[in-house]
Amino acid sequence: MNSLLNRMNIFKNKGVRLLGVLLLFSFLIQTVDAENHIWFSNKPPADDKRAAPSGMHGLSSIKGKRGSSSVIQWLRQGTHPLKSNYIQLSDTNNFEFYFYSPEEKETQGNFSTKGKIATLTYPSKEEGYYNGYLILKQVSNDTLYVNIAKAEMLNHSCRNGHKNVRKKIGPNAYPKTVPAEIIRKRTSSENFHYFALSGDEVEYQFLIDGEPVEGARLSFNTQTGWQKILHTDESGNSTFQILQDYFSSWQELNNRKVYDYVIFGDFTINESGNYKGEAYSYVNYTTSLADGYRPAKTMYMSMFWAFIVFMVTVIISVAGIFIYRINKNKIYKEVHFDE
Amino acid sequence: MNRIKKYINNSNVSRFRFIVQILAFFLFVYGGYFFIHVGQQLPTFACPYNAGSPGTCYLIAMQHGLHMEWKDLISYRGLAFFMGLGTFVLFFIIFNKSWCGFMCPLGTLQDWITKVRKATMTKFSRYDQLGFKRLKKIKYVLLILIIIIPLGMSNSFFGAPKISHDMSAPFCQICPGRTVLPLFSGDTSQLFIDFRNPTTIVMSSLGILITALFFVGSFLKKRFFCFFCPMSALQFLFSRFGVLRLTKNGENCTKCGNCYRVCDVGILEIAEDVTSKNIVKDDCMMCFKCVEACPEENCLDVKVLNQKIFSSTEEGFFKRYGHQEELTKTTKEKDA
Repeated sequence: MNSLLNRMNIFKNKGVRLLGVLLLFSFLIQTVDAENHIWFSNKPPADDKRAAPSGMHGLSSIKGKRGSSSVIQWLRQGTHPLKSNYIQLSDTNNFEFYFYSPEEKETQGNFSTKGKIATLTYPSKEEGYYNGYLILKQVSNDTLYVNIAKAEMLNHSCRNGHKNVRKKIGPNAYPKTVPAEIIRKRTSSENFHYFALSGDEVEYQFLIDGEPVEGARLSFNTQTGWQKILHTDESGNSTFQILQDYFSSWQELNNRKVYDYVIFGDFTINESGNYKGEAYSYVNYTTSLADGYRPAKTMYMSMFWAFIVFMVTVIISVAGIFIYRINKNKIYKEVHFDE
Repeated sequence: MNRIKKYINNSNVSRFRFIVQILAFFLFVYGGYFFIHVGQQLPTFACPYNAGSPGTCYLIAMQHGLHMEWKDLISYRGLAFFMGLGTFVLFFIIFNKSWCGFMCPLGTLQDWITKVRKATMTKFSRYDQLGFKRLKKIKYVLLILIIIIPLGMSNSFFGAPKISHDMSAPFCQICPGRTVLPLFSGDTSQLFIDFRNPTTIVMSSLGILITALFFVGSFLKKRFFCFFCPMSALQFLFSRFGVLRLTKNGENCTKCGNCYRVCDVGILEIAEDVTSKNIVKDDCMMCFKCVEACPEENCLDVKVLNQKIFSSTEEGFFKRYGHQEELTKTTKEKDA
């Protein structure tokens, strides 16, 4: 590194050299940090033939013994919803995993590090959102990096009814075990059939120890490569308007086409401590949440044409009945026979 | 006891029905806003597309419930479907087809449209008997389709490809309840043509077309849509188990035809059939107008658990209609 800097004239001054090293170092840290974004995806890797689409919420499931099935999520690394790598943990013993049912109880979620890709599976029984968290911690450069992958998965069957919808759809946070997380704020009309659509404004809140954080960096990444970065307000909220990603001729339009996105939250605080014998002065929290959105309703719904169909039907049917009634009530004409 | 019986037999059931209909309409259209929940297996239209609905019409639950593979239908998952059907039947057994005459918000709406027609002095229409017999089959065809289509979405019939998911809940896509009832909550979002693909274009256009026919038809023909309603067909399959019944004592019938003239649906058998005891036909909505209009003692009876609760009596008839001439005049006016 020094020989490289020596060859460059601008770095001959010691102060400038130090600044240059710091800049280069910070660049390297950012790159590594970005590459370390981990998240749970419901899309299977190409070579995983076990999984099949499950339900209307874009999840995948695998068949178990005796006809049972489990919802499955795969661990990925990167910021692109499509191009991120499916990964296995480098240290399969150094992680924390928590899983909560819609009733907010720690339940039978399984995080497996067997095989080539780390996976999260659980038997989906209760109505509402299941939450899964994988937490990785590592001290580096005087900073404790807390990397959290959050999975939020809705289970609903109309057969089970729609009672207590508001209570069951959350959102729930678990500050006792999960130090930081992003929650998606629910809309006032949200129910079990909610799906974000292009054009919708979706609000997210970044929490540390259950408290909203101002100034946290949230980045919203879609599968077409679009990225939007916002910082949270004093209530810890940021609102993203989902863009239109899907363009098709109407014959091919599929309103159930799901486009994936993943959102990352990032915040560093001054906090000294010791983790596994290594001291640190800062704690950096990075957390993720992946979901999907569908094309906007305006793409395929037309009230204008409904009005035309309605009026044409009314006019034709009324005219038809009117003519029928006139013809039915013909004036009696006496017939005279010439005798 | 005899006094109570006499009081009921002389009473005006249509007025009672009118009040019940208003209450039921508010319950099934706005009940949800008052945190009322009456289940998902209702034998009447309480449309979940309407935000204020306190429950769900069983037809949508049935269509969703049948959207499963054969092996699931005979497993524990299928048990949920049959339990739902059982709940529907239990609901239905109590009030039988009076769900249609007293409770259905779409039926009530048609009755109100009829009142508008009367106010505008417009002539009403009636099917001739041949047309009646042919058209009444449509509701059975619809019932068969809403059973077959959801099954065909999960299963392949004779190797044919599965039916598209765009046909999900097919009857709801064409039901005027979906488009009309949300209007009472100020929601016009169901009035659209869905341009996703040819299937959805056809189905949503059909839905709007039937909505238009619903308004025009109901204006000219009493209970126009009930005649084609698959819920009515489904109910009739279980009608014989109903606790509430409408029976006829043919020996007392003089075939005067009053019952036929006042019948909103236009069931001729109620006047002509003097041999059947149970007179509830598939199109009957148990409004009991026929009992009110019958001048013969105990010719038509409304029974609960085989106990008469309302019977046709000469006294009741004259109390309600004044005198025979007036009734004849009224019915002639209606016929005209």
